[in-house]
Amino acid sequence: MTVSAHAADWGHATAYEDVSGEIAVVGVGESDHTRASGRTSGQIAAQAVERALDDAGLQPSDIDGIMYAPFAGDQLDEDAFHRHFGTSHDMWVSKRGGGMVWAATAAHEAALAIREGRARHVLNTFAVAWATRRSEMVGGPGESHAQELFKQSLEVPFGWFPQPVYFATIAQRHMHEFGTTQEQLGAVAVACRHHANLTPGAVMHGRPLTLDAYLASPTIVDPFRKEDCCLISDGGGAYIMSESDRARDLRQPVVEVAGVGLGSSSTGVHWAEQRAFTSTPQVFAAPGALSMAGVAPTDVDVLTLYDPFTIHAIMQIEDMGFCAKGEGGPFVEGKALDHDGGVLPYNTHGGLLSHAYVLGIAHVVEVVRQLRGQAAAQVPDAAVGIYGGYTGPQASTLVLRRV
Amino acid sequence: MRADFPLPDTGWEPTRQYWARAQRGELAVPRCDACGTYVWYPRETCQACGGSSLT
Repeated sequence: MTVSAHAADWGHATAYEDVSGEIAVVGVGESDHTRASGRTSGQIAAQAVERALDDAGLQPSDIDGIMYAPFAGDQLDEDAFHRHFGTSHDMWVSKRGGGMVWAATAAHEAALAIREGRARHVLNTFAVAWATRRSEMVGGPGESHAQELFKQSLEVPFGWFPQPVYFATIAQRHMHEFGTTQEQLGAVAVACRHHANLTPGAVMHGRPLTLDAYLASPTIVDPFRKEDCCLISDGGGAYIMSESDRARDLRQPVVEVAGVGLGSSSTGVHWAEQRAFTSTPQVFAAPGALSMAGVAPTDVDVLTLYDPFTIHAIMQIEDMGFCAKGEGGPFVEGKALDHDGGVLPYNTHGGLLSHAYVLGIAHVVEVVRQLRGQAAAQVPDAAVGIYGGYTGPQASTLVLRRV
Repeated sequence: MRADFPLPDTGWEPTRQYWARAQRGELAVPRCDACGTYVWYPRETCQACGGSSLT
């Protein structure tokens, strides 16, 4: 069989109902982002939720829908919510919330739940305590992968483990196919660090990074330096979604959900099975979300992407249509990703690389703050923002718009 | 090789034949009887045609 790596024949988009403009994000909150804190992920999530409620001007009893992810340690499910806030009312519940791809797709499911009258104010929340768990030598992203049987049988024995090794291989292939350079990977790391240094509370705040320092740092898995890889930290985030008409009566400037998309690979769930090895399912997720929102890539003022490694920025920027496939490397060079004057302000809080490893939930919080004009590294007059989520075989796109 | 280097479970059914053939010095992956597509990693059915006979 002839394989064409870049023809879009290796996956599909999920058909989503048009929910453009129906709901808005009315409250956002983050926990403290820290190294090992000794807290559980549930406690961390509760702190983020308290702050999101304050931000929205809502009471715990107003939240009648809750979305979370049933993995990555204990999460703030409906029982934990009630215990924490001393409430007992009925709630619509979805376990298809949290971070990663779900930090985007939760908005679609919440819009339908609100449309159908199942809930008025829907909370999506996610938190991890992986820094604490790592200090206790349990849990964490490496261990969860090590428990997967195909990886145990066909990857670990060959040394293809853990995550930095997979994505170094993908980065090598991208460099081989397209001529992407070490300096271009470094430009992504430097942009994220610059934004984290402007963002109080970012884990890497106060620790500047220049391209020269990046290039002089040791390789940990070729071509990656430490600064190509995401942090491991304790932290979480939360956002609250409500009907757009209701949002106008609340405290904050209205930021509406303009478009949502989900794309999936059809060639398997493992990275080794991806026929399009240097592409992401943003190829399938982004077009539908942009179309639902009625915007083009050139209309986007601020972009946040799920970025476990620098190569994910380059691949997703290409796959979402900000440049042609293979041109992501040259696209991100220099100040292209800078919050102030860059052609595509990117991960303006620092992302998973330099802000906090909370798997995308803080990326959504950041886009909302940008569109309200409340961000630390504010993009001048930002009106349209995107979060791109990623898990490997799936990717998602959330388009938000200032009203 | 390190004594604690992680080794695969060669008795795990989905990869049992792969490792048995490897022990004989062969590289063998399952192929769909119906359409001829190689199916790797091992699965119950062919991704290309849905065929359930893989040898």
